[in-house]
Amino acid sequence: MRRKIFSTEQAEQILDRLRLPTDSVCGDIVITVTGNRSVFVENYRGILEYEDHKIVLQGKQNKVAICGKHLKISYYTNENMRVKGMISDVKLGEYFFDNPS
Amino acid sequence: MTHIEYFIKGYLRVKITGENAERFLNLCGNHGIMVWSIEREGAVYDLNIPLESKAEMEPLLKKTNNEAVLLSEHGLPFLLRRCKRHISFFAGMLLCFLLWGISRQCLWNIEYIGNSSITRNQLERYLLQKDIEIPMFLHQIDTERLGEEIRQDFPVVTWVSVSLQGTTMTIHVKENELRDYRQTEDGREAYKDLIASENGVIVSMITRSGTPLKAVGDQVERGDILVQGSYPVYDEDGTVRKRNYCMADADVIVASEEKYTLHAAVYDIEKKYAERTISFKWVSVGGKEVSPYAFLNPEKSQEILKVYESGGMLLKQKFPIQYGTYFIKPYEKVKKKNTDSEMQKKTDKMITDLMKRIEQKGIQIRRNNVTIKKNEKMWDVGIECLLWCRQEAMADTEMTEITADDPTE
Repeated sequence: MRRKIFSTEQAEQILDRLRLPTDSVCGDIVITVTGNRSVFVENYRGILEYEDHKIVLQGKQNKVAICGKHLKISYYTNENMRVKGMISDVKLGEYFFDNPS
Repeated sequence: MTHIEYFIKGYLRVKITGENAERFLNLCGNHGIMVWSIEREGAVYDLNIPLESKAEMEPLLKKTNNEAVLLSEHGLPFLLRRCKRHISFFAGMLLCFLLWGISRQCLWNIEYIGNSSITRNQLERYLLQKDIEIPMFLHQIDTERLGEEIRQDFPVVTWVSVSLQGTTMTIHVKENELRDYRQTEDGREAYKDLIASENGVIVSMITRSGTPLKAVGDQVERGDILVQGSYPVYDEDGTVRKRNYCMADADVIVASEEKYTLHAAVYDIEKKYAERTISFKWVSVGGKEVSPYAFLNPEKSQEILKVYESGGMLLKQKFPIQYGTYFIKPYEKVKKKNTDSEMQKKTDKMITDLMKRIEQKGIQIRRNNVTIKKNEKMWDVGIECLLWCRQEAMADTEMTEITADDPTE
């Protein structure tokens, strides 16, 4: 297993000092929500689940769930995707998926 | 832009069935295959994939145990395949657009605005000298240079604007309306005498500048100098030292006797029109007209009305194609004898028209005597008038040099 040279906090401090964007260097997922009809997602790893009412995406560190109705993937590449439909929730974090209640 | 690119290259709408559809989507993303418009309907996915990625997609389907069913084909390659039968139609459309594009680059119309003393024909001839004619490519026309040349070559033009709008060139000129009549065309000062334009007797004379050579009551002949455009400057001893020149200016009225003879024909030719009017369509391409009218008998008497139904204008683009209708009304010439009362009316009208024409020239009619000689074919109307004419004709002043040694002065 590869050993990390810096912890996450140390890495963020260094990036802040260097004024580098953390999302592209750390590979954080970037979500842009436009109203309740469109979500634009960048820096994701893949689709875990796709249903009419829920789309679950795998990020580098955590998962993202986009919930709503009549969800449709407008386009999908390995870099970004756009989801359209009636969006009600955008949920982040491991704990939600471990304990969905 | 991406969608336009995929439309040009072609794309497929497919239905993905199987349990690992998400895995298939991830693999597509990892292999750089663009997928879009993904919709889930129950356990199946409908999505669009580019035509070029079809071969790449098949091993991924096998790997994920999914199956793809083709729903529809979209894009230009499929559209062209469907339209292969109508290829001539599309070729015609393409040719039409090509010709339209070329014709947009050409000059098809020239408009002249503001010219009054310079005629349209003069300007057209001038443009032909400058190698500007219809049709020619717009990029060959240097509007600024043309404007400068017009200003130089026509001294009466004080301002000129040459502009191109669409395929029309507009030449807007402003002429010098307050042209100084005291100057010759080269700009030198001119001196003029007032001369008589009629034979007669002077009845009134008011001189404002110049030397009057005639007086009220004098008999004058056409061409006689009435007021000279110069006046003498005398020395102390009464001799003429020099002559100063000016424009002669005076109100001179000459009374002259004029005789006019009018002829009124007893027989008139009347037109007896046919009951129906014939109409033909005509088309003109590049100034050459095509119409069935050309095949008709041109010697037959007929009245022709040519109606332009199209000016050939579309989006400020004038094309050399025009069309319209000929309305032709044939008639026969019928000889008709006028009665005495009709002849009287006819001669009265002729006399009134003549008097109006004379008065329009600014001539006063002081007296007139009318005599009518009648014969079978013609009534000859003789009119003797006494006219008062204002004299306005001018002639160049003769320049004389005076020297001190000249014994005559």
